[in-house]
Amino acid sequence: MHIKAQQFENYVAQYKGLIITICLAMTKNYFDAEDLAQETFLAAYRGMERFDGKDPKAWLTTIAVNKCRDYLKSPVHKNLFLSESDMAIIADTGTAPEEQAEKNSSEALVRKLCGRLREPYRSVAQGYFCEGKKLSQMAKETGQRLRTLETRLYRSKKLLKVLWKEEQEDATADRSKRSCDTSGAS
Amino acid sequence: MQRLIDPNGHVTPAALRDFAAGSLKPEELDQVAEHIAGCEQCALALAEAAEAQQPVEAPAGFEEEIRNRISHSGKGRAELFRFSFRVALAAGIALFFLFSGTFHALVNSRNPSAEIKAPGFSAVEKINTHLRDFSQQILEMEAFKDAKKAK
Repeated sequence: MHIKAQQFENYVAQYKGLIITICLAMTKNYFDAEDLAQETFLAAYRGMERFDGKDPKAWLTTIAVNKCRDYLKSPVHKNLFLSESDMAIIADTGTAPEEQAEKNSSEALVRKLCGRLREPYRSVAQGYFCEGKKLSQMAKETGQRLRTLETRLYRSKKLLKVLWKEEQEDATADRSKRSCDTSGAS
Repeated sequence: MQRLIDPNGHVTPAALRDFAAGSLKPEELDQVAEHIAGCEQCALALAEAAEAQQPVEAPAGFEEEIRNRISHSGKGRAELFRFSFRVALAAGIALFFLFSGTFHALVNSRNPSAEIKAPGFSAVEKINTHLRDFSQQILEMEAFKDAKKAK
């Protein structure tokens, strides 16, 4: 059991970038990708006993692709909705001009969306996604219990997924509007 | 529409690159994904295509979060085990009291020093009485049969 745990940790360290890349390629949503990458490794952990150890890269890729396929087909993904208590976590902010300019950068978008959450969710989300902090580190800094921060992160992720999706939809709508305008003008 | 699957039935390199870059259309993505889900060779090829492009970084706290989630699921099972054990223990104690109650009442006689033994009410005595009666009945039946035979 100890060897399994160590081997598993090695896999996570080695392949987390790969798996999140694949999940992002399939979902086009950074927050979905991060969550599904975690789900991939959790499924891998549960299946470690059955794994022959021959090709971890192919094995993990297969799990990730299956997870993403299932998610993309699920009603949860198609009908993302927020409850009132969820909505209360989003702060009303307008889009400042500098934010508009940065929109195209994924990293900037992550930062922007984390900034749209109210406290205490904003600092957990920003810490985890933007500032490279672990939850245990944030727990020490703030004196909050780790479990509390985990719950906040879980709720933040749920919102951030939806905000990302809306942002992408808005961007697509803007692009098609602009192309209509320019073709109209000529 | 580009070719996704080559004549050998595997995903083309171009399709893998587009997949990894997220530029396949949803139907194409699903078609390729379905194949990859059942083909180790193509799963490995996809991994390599993904590694060849600019990697996406996981958050710094990613590994710790996975460890936390694993330990929570483990704790859940341990808690369930402890709960089941407590239920089983409580049930066992309840059953014990249920059955020992009879014995308790019988043993707890009001006159422990009485010389004359009260008529046996214990379960064992009852069973013995029944058995005696039963064997007596058998004997009587045998006697009856014999009597019949004799006739």
